[in-house]
Amino acid sequence: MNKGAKRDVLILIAGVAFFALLPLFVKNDFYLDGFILIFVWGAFAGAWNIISGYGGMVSLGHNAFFGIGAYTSTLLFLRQGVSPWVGMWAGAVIAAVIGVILGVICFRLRSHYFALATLAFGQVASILALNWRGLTEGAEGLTLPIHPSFTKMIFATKLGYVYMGLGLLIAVLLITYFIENSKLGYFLVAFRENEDAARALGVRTGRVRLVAMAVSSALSALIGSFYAQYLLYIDPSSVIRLQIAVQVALFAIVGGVGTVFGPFIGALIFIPITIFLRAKLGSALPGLHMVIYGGILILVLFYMPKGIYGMLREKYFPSSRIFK
Amino acid sequence: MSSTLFAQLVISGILLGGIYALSSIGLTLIFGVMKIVNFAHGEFLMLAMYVSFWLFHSLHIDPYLSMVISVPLFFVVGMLTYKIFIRKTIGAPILAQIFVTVGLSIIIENLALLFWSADFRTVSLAYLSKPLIVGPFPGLGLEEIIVNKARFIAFFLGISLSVAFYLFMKFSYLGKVIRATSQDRTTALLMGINIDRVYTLSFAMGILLVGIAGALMIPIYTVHPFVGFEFVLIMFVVVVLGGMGSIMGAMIAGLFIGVVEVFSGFLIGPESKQAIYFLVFIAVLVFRPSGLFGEKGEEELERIEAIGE
Amino acid sequence: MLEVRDISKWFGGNPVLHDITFRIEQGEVVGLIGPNGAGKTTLFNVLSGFYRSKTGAIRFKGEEISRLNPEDICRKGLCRTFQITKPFSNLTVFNNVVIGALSRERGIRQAEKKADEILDLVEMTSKRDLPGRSLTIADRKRLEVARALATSPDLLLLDEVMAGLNPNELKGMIDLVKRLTELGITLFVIEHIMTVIMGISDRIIALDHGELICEGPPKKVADDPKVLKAYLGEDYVAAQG
Ligand SMILES: Nc1ncnc2c1ncn2[C@@H]1O[C@H](COP(=O)(O)OP(=O)(O)O)[C@@H](O)[C@H]1O
Ligand SMILES: [Mg+2]
Repeated sequence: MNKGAKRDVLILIAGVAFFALLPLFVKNDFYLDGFILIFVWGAFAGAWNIISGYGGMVSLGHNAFFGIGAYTSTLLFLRQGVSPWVGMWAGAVIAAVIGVILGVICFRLRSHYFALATLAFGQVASILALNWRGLTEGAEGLTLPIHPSFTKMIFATKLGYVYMGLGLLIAVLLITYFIENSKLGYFLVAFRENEDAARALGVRTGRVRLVAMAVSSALSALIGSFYAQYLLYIDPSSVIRLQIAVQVALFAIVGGVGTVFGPFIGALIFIPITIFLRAKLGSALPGLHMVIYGGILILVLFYMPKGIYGMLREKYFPSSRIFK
Repeated sequence: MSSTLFAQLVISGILLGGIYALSSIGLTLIFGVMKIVNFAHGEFLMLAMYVSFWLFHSLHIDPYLSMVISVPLFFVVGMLTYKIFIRKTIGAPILAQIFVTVGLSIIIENLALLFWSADFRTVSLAYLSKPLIVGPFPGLGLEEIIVNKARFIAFFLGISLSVAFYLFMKFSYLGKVIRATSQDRTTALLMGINIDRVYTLSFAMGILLVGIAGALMIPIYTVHPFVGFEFVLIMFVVVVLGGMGSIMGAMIAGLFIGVVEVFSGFLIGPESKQAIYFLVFIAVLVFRPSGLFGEKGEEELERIEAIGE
Repeated sequence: MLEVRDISKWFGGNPVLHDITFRIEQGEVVGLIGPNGAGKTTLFNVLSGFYRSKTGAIRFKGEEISRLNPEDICRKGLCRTFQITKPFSNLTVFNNVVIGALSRERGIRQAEKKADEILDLVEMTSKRDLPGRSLTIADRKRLEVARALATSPDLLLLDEVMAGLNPNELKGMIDLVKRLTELGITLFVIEHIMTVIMGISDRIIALDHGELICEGPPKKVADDPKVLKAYLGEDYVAAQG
């Protein structure tokens, strides 16, 4: 192993250790919530990144997949007594199937048109969640009874959620890393860079994107299920409204799309800002954190199109095999 | 359904559609000329509604009169927005093209929330409060039909302005220059057209149109920071249905969506009507990306550009 | 190797290709000439699956391919380059070629090995780690060839890979094309500089206004009055008498 690679491994180990151990010393639930949110949003942004960052198919409808996960596991548990550990996989399968159907229908659309179609799709999902009261209880939402038990995926302390969130995040990072270093990743990027050239070179761009879409939507649903277990109460506004799709894209873009760690870095930057402002201001200046989000988004798009992580990587880890 | 009710619904739908048409033609103009979807269009509409609201509230300026102020104001706002934000996204990667205006919409919406709170605000004008009663028309078998005055004015002015704008684009020199640019950027450039100027003017006009729409809408709708989001989704539906970039298409599609909305609201309930037209929207995108009323296939053109050499 | 029968292509009301029929045998180098706008690139687009011909048939290695997608046609061993080059701009030259190799090779490692061999063959090893967008025209054309080669084609369609090069670069490209024939790859080459195409082709096909006007050994095609007329205009031919 050469020197650069050794350094990279050390940084990686230090990073994992930091996020695995630090929560043990945090006694304040408010900050532990911060860790959970960073992991949830980092993982979700990573899932979005697979189809939209690597594949360049910009989705504004990922709120639907997140919501499908949250509602599927919660409803299966409330109505059928199915453990969320099972229910989350059911949600993932449903989301993957719907993602593939959406892909089959919409992948022929280019850029703006695809973004608009997914926006409409996400909006239909959110309208359904709001109005299909027989299934979802509409705006009243669904409450999970608080009986901590591992089989019900309800943890007695925040630490349980912290570690499960960390596990999900690491899973998403590993999957992304694996994709980036597989044919799938090369082909996705080829499609994003130039569709005609990719097809002329034998890249089955349709199939490749469908696989990426299935993985991306299934992961989003898994994270949605976990998020529902963490909130113990879900309604359309907390798990399926359009702003969720915008926010997840925003985190990924600011961190750096088409990279393994970028989306997580985005969450790592934004969640603390939100928490800090909420702690400082309470509800005194509603919307201020969103103004800051929007401002950072535009600045990054103009001056750091590769995102914050993308830029740092180019500078400090240009040929790293780990920091992709 | 009685014929009177049917006529009532059609008329309400068409009146509603006039508003949609006017607010959407700016969006379609901007897309047609610079191939940019302005995700912040609804927020500019929201700002326009606030401007008319505050002019009425603090200076007692009639909303219809406030257009005298809104029109130049929003023209300048549009120009500045183009120069500061939009110009940089022309020819930029798709992510920047989409998310710069998304970022703008987030900023504007939340600034409105910061400054003006989430309160719902309305302008009610005494002279509009009584509805207009039309009919009965025994010859047509119709009883009395009720027409909301504010909606009627908005429809009448909205459609007249839309038609005027359409004619302007068709016959004026500037209109021709803009259309030439939107059809073929490169050739326009070779012909000595100042593309940047055309873009600036088009964006400014697009925002100006929504400035007018805001003034026409404030006597009808309550304004709050999130109202733009509600309308922008409808505008997308109208623009796509009409063929992205087609002004005439947006006008027809606006009326069409107005009627669909009123009927589906009546027949299946107001909550689900949105779902209906979003499904229509996806179907149109998939089966006829050039729109139901569009002239040329924008999406196909891109395809040809990609391979044709 | 390739049998094309009666293919046609219209854009709007305009026929761009009209009842084109020809064959290419294994191991041949066939030149495709014709003035600008004759329909040469369109013919490549039809052969490679980017456009569909409403009529006729295309048989490649005995198999009907006219209904297949570009990606599947490539996987059968028919690959094309683009006249207006289409590099993956944000990827290195190396990764551009790796992607070409991946559609045939089992894994990333094998594809990387193959990519290095090909960069060596096309003499681009020194540019291996540059991003696609930074290349000169000559190198972009070379990269087009390199990527296409990486897919292990049996028949390679080269669309004006020699156009717009300076004499030195041109000589390099001609050498490269000759090396490809030594590898046993059948070539179908668009080029409208007559002297160049005559030097490398076994046989030449001439298109004009979407019609196949002449076909045969280079010498015969070069002397054909229809070809002269297409290139130089009626008057020139008359004056030469
Ligand atoms: N996508 C397209 N749409 C319309 N016309 C096209 C398209 N592609 C090519 N053409 C027309 O077809 C003719 C042949 O073009 P092309 O095959 O590119 O010629 P060549 O490669 O021989 O120079 C030209 O007249 C060109 O304008
Ligand atoms: Mg050509």
